[in-house]
This record gives sequence, structure tokens and C-alpha cells, in this order.
Amino acid sequence: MANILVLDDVYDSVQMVKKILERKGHVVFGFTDEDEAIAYVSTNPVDLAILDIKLRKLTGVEVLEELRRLRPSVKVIMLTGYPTLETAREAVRLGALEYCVKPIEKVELEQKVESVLAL
Amino acid sequence: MTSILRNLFRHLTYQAFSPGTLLRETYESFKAILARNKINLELMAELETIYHDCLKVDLSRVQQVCNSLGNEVSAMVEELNRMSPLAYTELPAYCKKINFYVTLALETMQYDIKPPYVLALRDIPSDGEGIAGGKAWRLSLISRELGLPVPDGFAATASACRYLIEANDLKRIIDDELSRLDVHDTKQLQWTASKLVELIWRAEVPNRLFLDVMEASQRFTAVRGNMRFAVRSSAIGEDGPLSFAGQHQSILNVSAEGLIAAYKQVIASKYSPKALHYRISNGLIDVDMPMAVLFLPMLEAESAGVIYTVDPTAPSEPTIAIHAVRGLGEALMSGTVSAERYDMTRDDVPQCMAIARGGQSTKTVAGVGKELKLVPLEEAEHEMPCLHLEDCVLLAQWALRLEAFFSVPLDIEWCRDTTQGLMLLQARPLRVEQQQEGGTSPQPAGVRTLIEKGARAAGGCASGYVFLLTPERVIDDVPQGAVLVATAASPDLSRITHRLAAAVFEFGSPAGHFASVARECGLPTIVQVGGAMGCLRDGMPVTVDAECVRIYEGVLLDLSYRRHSREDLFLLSPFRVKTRKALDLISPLNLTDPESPSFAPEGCRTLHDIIRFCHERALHEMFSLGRRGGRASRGARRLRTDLPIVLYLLDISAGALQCPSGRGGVRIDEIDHAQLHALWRGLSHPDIYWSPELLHIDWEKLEQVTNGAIMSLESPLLASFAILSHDYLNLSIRFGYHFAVIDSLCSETEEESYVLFSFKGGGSAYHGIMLRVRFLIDVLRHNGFKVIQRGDLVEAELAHCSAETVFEMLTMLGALLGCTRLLDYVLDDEQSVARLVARFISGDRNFAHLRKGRG
Repeated sequence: MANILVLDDVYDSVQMVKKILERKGHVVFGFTDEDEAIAYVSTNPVDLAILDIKLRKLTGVEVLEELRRLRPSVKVIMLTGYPTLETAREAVRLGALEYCVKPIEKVELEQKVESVLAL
Repeated sequence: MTSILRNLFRHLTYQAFSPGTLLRETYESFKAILARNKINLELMAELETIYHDCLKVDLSRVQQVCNSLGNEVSAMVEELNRMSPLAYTELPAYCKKINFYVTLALETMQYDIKPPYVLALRDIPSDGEGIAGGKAWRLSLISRELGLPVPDGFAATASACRYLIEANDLKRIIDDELSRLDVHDTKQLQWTASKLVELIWRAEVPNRLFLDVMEASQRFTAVRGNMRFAVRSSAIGEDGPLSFAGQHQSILNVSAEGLIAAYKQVIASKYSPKALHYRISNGLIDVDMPMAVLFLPMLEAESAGVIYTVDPTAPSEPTIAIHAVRGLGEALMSGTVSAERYDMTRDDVPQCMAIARGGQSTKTVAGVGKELKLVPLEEAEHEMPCLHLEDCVLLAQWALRLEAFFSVPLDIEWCRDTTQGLMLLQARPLRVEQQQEGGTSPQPAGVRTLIEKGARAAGGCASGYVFLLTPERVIDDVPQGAVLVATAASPDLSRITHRLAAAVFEFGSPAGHFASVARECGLPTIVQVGGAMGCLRDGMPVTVDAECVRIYEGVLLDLSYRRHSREDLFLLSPFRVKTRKALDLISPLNLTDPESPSFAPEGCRTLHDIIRFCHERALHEMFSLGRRGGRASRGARRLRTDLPIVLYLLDISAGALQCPSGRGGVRIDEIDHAQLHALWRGLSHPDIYWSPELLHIDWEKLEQVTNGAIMSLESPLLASFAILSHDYLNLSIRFGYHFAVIDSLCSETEEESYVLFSFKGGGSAYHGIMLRVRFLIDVLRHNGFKVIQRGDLVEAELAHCSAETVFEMLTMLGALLGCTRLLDYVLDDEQSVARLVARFISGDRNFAHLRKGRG
């Protein structure tokens, strides 16, 4: 079981992902504010972060960069409703292991999370 | 969202004020979906054919087809939302998502175009293979890390090449040309290559790059004003698992003024016919292989050659082979002379075990101008070996050091300069062949040996008919399966290796460029077979045993043996991996049961799912029009039939279905439609076996495959639909996993009448599906249809036919549909296909024995 951080500016999206992953036995910490998410990672162990790209203050890619700086071992999945090749390239360059597009179904999310945790 | 609102507004407006217009528009959208469905099936079939038939196309073709498919599927989704604006609002998001995943799967690496554009050899970083290309990078390491002598020089980087392409806005044009290229079409290959080469030649070298190259060259010309350069390819990836031996151009004896032109010429050589053929045939990707270019001062070569740290055709032999020619090494690489060979031991002080004299009468030297020239050997040069023994020892020692440093067997180029002595020019990994187990085979009894001499350049044994490449012939004349016999083992011949059974050359060397390519593609090749052109006759059947270095008379198929398949590397190539990834997001069909809760936008995992969803829902929307308030005669009516088939009919001309309406549907004899009657005669032929209740109750094989999931015949999964007007029939018929469309027009004039038939899919393994495809094609062609096959998609057309022929063909197609249900599960091989074709053609419609045999 893994410690998973979920960051999305839409509360309902956080809750949906949280609910799916908690059913699989993971411990999930949900955030809608990027500063709080970054602060959490700086002081707590996190195995995987699932990051939305359109946030309020920063972009998800900027958060990814910061998280990897704070904790290089953290695995990252990007999850966005606004996919672009540019953000996909940049996210992969900065170490994201998956780039997922919303709407995402339960099975797809579970599969992507399991495959990334197994890496 | 705007699009949904716009569609909804139009829909509600028409519903209120002009329901007739709404019906017509809905029908137009439905027709558009049917048309796009056809296009999408064709595009999917094209992709599947590219993958399953291992077609050698550039990745840009796959990208282009996927792009078209993505656009067409998006348009289909748009049409469906036009038919029913509120029912499928989530579908566009899933379509967009899967399209994005496909694009991402085919995405190539994005490289930057930042400086440095030029690096001195000594400044190439230790991990700089991706910056300066393998050739320049290794030369830099040899000098810096091992202290061995190499010419001083500089490299224009991969970034510089990308900058050149970008600054001239060439990428889109290059991709466009490559997407249309069939590398096996010689004329097209030449045409595309010449167009791309000209693009590069005409490209303007950006000022910054121009100045950097000139500044780097001035470091040399400042010392020696008339300095000349060798301008050599150092493409990224050219010395990887594939050698690209001789594929890219090197230009020798270039003056400082000619450097920029030579630079462009070397870059352009990545689009030469042979380089394009080689790269695409091996599944490599254009943008992954930018051309870095190496600039070295021209040496005055007394002798030059190649060292193989192991014998690539006999790796268990503990020798280092030094191949040497007088003058520049070009004669050796281009296979025009037979080099001397020195076999050295691998001791600390290597011993020379054997010397094989070559067959050199001329040597290549630098001319006064840009050109190279061939001059006869001097008297003394005929007598003396190319290398002194101490040179051989030194070269073998260097080879051992290099091999230890790079940790792989190597192919090393060297040169003996008149003033600077021995120098190293290149070191690259050497591909080593697996030897035949049990050593070489003895000469077979009762077989005449025509030739027993030469040197093995690539192992294996193959038979074919001799094609003598005489001066008046061109390489495009070489037929498929030929044994090529030629004077020189020219690297230009590498683009026809796929056509050859074997190759024999009078000159050449196992260390030449063609030999490297022959080993890579598993082509049995013998070089240094003096007199072969005179001894072997054109068209003569022979067997080339490169293992034993013998050529036998006749075709001896029992001896055929390849050290490896030429497909081995292709199957693992980036092109294949990317295409597979994209296909996994396109082809699999997950939405098989429209009654299942997962038959919904969120259940779509692939573009095929979206296509299927749109098609099914469009049919549903169309055929439920009547139930939504239209006149009953305009709604869909279910055909009442004893056959276990669910067929809905829609009359768009309000003529054919003028019969008493009722909940029980309509009987075939109540319908006034000659084409439907003709089709039905075939489909309801008394000999066609139809399971009365469940589709595959006797079909053990199908149950195994579907894990016993038995489908009710009432399931819309099996439902078929027909659109009728007075002279038109469009039938979309679905049996489980396969799908067929019959579209026919029976006009008053033969000119306009036609019958179209398409068929795709199946639930069995690919082999079974393709056997059924074979059956369909043979039957259709026998009946005069023009048939096109793309993967498992069969498309047939019979145009300009009389009314009688239309009816006759519809009856035949009806029977064909009835007989071929689940045939993909029971066909074993081509022979069983041929037997069934003969039976069908003779009028036999009873195929029930096939499934009984299985049960």
C-alpha cells in the first residue's frame, strides 16, 4: 500500500480519485491548494503524487518540478482535462511516469497507479 | 459545449417547426456516419496491414493515417451529436482523450536546436554521442582517453543539422514526402530521394552555423593554406545495432571554400535512395537520426583499411583480421578491389598467422581538384605487401586496446599517412553473426560444384537464378529471388538486398560496406570470386553456400539456411514499437454488446470502440425515429422472419413498406422491394444452416473462445438494419464480431447501377479471419467483382451492371453472408478454403458439415 498525494483544484475530482484509490487500500492525501501540497511533501513521505495541470497559482508541471526537487524519489502521474503535447513532453522530461487525460475511469486509474507503483 | 448547445438549438427548433427537415437532417447525419464508418474501417485496416504485414513505411505514414482516423472519428462523434444533441455529450471528451493518447504514442523525441553547432574533437564531451554522432564521439575518446593517434578535426553537431532543417522550415515537407513513400517502388524511391536531397541542397545554412564551421576550419587553414578536408557523416545512431555501413556519404579532398556545400551534401545523403531504403526497412525514425558531420584534415594515404577485432562470420576464431589496400580506403569500402588480409593473434604481442594477398591493380588517391582519381599501382607496389609486419603488430595492439575500452567487437578504420604514419579514422561496433552449429557441411553427394573459392562476407546458404549485373544493366533490373553476380560489391546494391537470395562478387572484401549490410540482413554473400561473371551464366539455377564458400549447380532447397532473418531487427525497431502502441489504442474492440452497461462513452477504450459506439447509436437513433413521434411509415419496422436474424427496415421513400402496420413487424412478402427480395432469397436458401434458437449452440469452438458467453439472437448485438428506397438498398448486417454492408442501386440505366459489398472482422484468431477473407475474395472475384483487401477488410465492387445482374448478385451475396457466419473458426488452411470456394461456386450452400465436424 502506498502513500498517495492527489492535487486538483476541483474538490470533487480530488474526492473521486481519493475514493477509488482508498478502496484499493492506499492512504490518500487530497489537496486543492498547491502550496499546501508542496508543504506536505516537504515534511511527509509520499510514494506517488497525482497532479492536475490547471491549478490556481502554479501549473501542475511547476508543482511536479518542485516535488521532484524536494523528494526525488516521489513518483508522479499527471492527470489533466486539457492535454497538450507540450505539457506532456515537459512533464515526462521532468520525471512524470504517466500522463493521463480526463475523463478517467476507475479501471484505467487503478491500472495506471498500479503500474507506476510497480516501477 | 458550444457545439452541443448549437446542435440542441437547431434540433429543438426543427422539432417544433419543421419535423420533416429534422428527419432529413438526421438522415443526412446518419448517411454521413455510415460513410465515415466505411472510411474509418479502411483507415484501421490500412494501419493493421502496415503492422501485421510488416510493411516498410516511414513513421510519418502511420502518423498521417492516425491523424486522418482521429479527424474522421471526431467528425463521426460530431454527426452523432447532431442526430441527438443531448444523448452523448460525454463522447467528444473520450474521443479527444483517445486521440491524444494515439498522438502521444506516435510522438517522436523532441530535440533542441541550441548551440553548440560546432565542436573541436577534443571538446566533444565523454557522453556526447548524441551531440556529435558515434563516429566523431568515438574518435574523440580514442584520442583523449587512450592517447592513440587520430587526425585532429571538428564536428558540426546534430543540433546544427536540426537547426538547418528548422531554419528552412523543411520538417513538414520532409514528413509529407516520406508519408507517401513506398521504398520497394524503385521509381518512387528515386523520385522522393531526389526531391528531399534537392531540398537540403537548396537550404540556406543559417549564418551562425556558417560562421562556426568557417571559424573552425580556419584553425587548420591558418597553418596550411591549401588544406583539404575529409567531410564525413557522423549521424546519430548510425553505429548502433545497425551499422549504416556505406549508406551515408563521405566527401574527400574538399577545399575550405567547398566545406559548406560538402556539409549540405553529407546531410542530404541521409535522404539518398539507399539510405532511405535502409533506414525505413530497418524501422528507424528520421528525426532520431540527425546528421552530425565530421571534418578531418585530408591524409595522404600510402595504405588504408579496416580491422575486425573478431571475424564477424566466424566469431569463435581467435584472430584479429587486418584488411589493407594501397592508397585511400575508399576502394576497399566500395568493394571495387580485393584487399590484402593479415590474420593476427590476440596475444600481447600479436603474431601474424596468415597473409592473404589481394587483387589490387589500381589505387585511389586524392586528385588536384576536389575529385579522387584511380591510378595504376607502381611496379614495386605489386611486389610488396601493403603493410610491414611491425605495422600489423601495432594495429593489432591498438585494436585490442580499443576493443577492451569499448567492450564490444569493433570495426576499425585506419590509414598510413606518408608523413604522420599510422592513424585511426573510425571505430564502430561490429555486428557478429551466429555460426551454424556443427560447423560447415560437407559437399552434398551427386551435386556439381561450379565454383569453390572466394571469401565469405556473410554466412548462410540460398538458391536462386543467376542475374549477371553486366555494365549495360541497372540494379533496378534485378528480379525478386535472384542470385546477384557482379564485379564489385558496391554499397549502392544494399537497397536491393530484400530482393536477393544470395550475392556473389568478383572483387570486394568481407570488410566492405556491402558485406556489413549483407550480414545485417542475413544475405548469404561470397566476395573475391574471381571469374564468376564468366563462369556463371545468366538465368542459371545455382545454390550459393556461403558457409563453405561454394557455388553448386541447381536449386538445392534442402541446403537453404540463413544465419538470421532479415526481419529480426525490424521487429524490435522503434517504428514497430510505436505503431504497436498506437494500434493498441485503435484496434481492439471492447464494446461488443450494446445491451451491456459498459456500452457507453466511458466504456470506450479505443478508437474502434468509439467508431462502433457511433455506428450502433446512429442506427439506433435512425431506426427509433418513428417511435419518437414521426409517422409510423417513416419509422423502422422489424422484419418478421423464421430466420434467427434481427433485421430492422427503414423506408426513406415511403413506398416499399406500404403494408398493414402492427406491432408484430412486417413479413418479407408484404414488402415491395425487388432488391431486398433477391437478397433474401440467398440468405434464406433452404440449405443454409441456421441454429433455431441460439446462434452458436453447436459451435464448441466459439464457446471456447467466448468462454461460454452465449448471445441471445434478440440481442441488438446481432441486429442488422436495412434502408430502402424504390431503387436503393443499404443493408448493414452484423453477426457477432463481423460486419458486412451491402449497398446496391438498381437504376434504369446499367451505367448507374452497382452492387457494393464490404466485410470486416471476426471473432477467431487472425489466421482464421484471414482464411475467411481468402474465401470471400475468391468467390467475389469469380462473380466478377473488383476486390480490394486491406487486412481483414474486404471491399468489392460490381459497377455498370444490368438489373438482372444486380438481383443475381444480391442473391449470391445473401447466400454468401449466410454461409460464412463463423467460418473463420472452422477453416484450417488454404486447401480447405479452395474446397469450399469450389463448392460454393457450384451452388452448394450446405456448410453445416463443418460445424458438426467440430462439435
